[in-house]
Amino acid sequence: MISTLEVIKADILTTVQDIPGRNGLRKYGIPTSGALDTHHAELANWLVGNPMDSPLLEITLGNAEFRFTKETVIGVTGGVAPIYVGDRPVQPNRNINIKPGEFLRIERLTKGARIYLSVAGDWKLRKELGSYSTYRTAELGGLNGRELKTGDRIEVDISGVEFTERTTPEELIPHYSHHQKIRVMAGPEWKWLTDKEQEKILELRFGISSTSNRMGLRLKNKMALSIQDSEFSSVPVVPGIVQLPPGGNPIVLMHDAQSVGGYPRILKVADADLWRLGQVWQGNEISFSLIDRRDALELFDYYRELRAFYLT
Amino acid sequence: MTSRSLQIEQKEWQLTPLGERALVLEPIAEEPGLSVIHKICFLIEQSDLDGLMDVVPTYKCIALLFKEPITDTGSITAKLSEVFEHAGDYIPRNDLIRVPVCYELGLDWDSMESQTGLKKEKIIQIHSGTTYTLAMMGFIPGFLYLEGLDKKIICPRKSEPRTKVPAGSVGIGGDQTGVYSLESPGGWQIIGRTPLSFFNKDQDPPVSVSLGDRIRFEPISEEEFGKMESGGNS
Repeated sequence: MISTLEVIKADILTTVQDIPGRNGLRKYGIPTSGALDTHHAELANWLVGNPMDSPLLEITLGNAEFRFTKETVIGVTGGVAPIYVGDRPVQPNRNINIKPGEFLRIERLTKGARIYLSVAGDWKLRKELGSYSTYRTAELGGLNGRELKTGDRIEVDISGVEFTERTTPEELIPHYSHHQKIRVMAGPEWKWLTDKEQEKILELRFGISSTSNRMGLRLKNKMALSIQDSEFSSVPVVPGIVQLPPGGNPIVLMHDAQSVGGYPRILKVADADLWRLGQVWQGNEISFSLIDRRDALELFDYYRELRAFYLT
Repeated sequence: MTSRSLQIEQKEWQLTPLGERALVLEPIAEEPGLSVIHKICFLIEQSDLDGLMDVVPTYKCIALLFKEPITDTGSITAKLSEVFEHAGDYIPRNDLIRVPVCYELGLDWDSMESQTGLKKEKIIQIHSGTTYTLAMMGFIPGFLYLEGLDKKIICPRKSEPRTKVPAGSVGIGGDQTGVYSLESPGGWQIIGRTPLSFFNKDQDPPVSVSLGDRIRFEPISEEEFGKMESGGNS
């Protein structure tokens, strides 16, 4: 049985994403893509009993509205916003049984930057180059490789789906604060900076530029720099790398970022913290705290075990 | 965790972590040259290294991306050493690909002329008179980085990148020349456009050229460009 998700309103950027993203194609310049806040994307799929690699919607800043043609089980996680089913306010972080024709309305986010909407069942979308994730530059994945618009429809096969109540464990719901401390490792070119510059980068609170997007989080707080990139040729980069262009405003590469880059790679955000940057927006501030690689690996394991423990 | 060293064809290389899930393989002393980089990529891709997802070449090094965090670099180093020890023959690619370019559709001729001190006609003659090697792809899908630009037409990137560079644009960025397969932002000096597209998501692989291919640009008129573009060339 098919329930059709109808997009009533999608606002600035709503796309289909999944979690593994697109792998094995970086040598062609094809980025990983996928949900930026992997933590909440996983929670959303868990809430509705979908496999972790199922497609779901990533809704930037909220302000979106949807309707389903059949009784459907959905999950909403991520940033904080008032959510309504019809006129009835509903809580995020638990699965919701929505009746045919009822409107799901997600208002503008008051905290965080992205909301994830999962729908129980099998989405009738085609993987492209191994993933459902939308990558607009190459018109890949999602719905015709683009962002969702009013009037778009996505069919979901809901055969066998049953509603049994699920709530996100408290332990897995993050606290959103205006200022986030992000754990980072030294990048390959970290040692190019003077001790003073290193100290300053770890002390500064960086603002978020309005030009930030799924490729990169552009940070504001100019560094006066001694390093120049004159002889620097393009080198491999991965999501989480912090680049320092000559202008002195760092860029954190996110999931739609390129596979090679021409700026010094001063830091690498720990994978355990990278998802948090998916919830950062203009008006927020971040600062970096330096850890070593062994700590980063331990953090990764710690969070993986924590999720495995609660999400059974 | 620090670097591990290994020998590849009597040369010293090192393997250094890049974050939790990637390793960078780079030569310790001298620069290896593109053909060596491409050969190593080929051999690693042919091997069955556990959990390896991506092998990404650049001019001077190679990134290996794994599915899971890497806790044991030692065993990967050992495995790689074995791969190179028992490497079979590798025949470098040598295809010559002719790429038609309409230089009239260049956008940055003024800055090209003032930066190089050469007239447009001379720059075209030099640019289309050289055979380039496909060094790597990246930045955007199917962006071709080509090695071999004549020193006389080196030109720095634009100080303010364009927010939109048309698909097919041929540009110069420093000592490299390259092709934008898709419309995207970009900071290279645009000297022409090709009606060819090297990226097709419905093909496997999605990019129709391979590392090491040789590329030559052939000047065409605007009229020819129009015909080839509407002819659906790919």
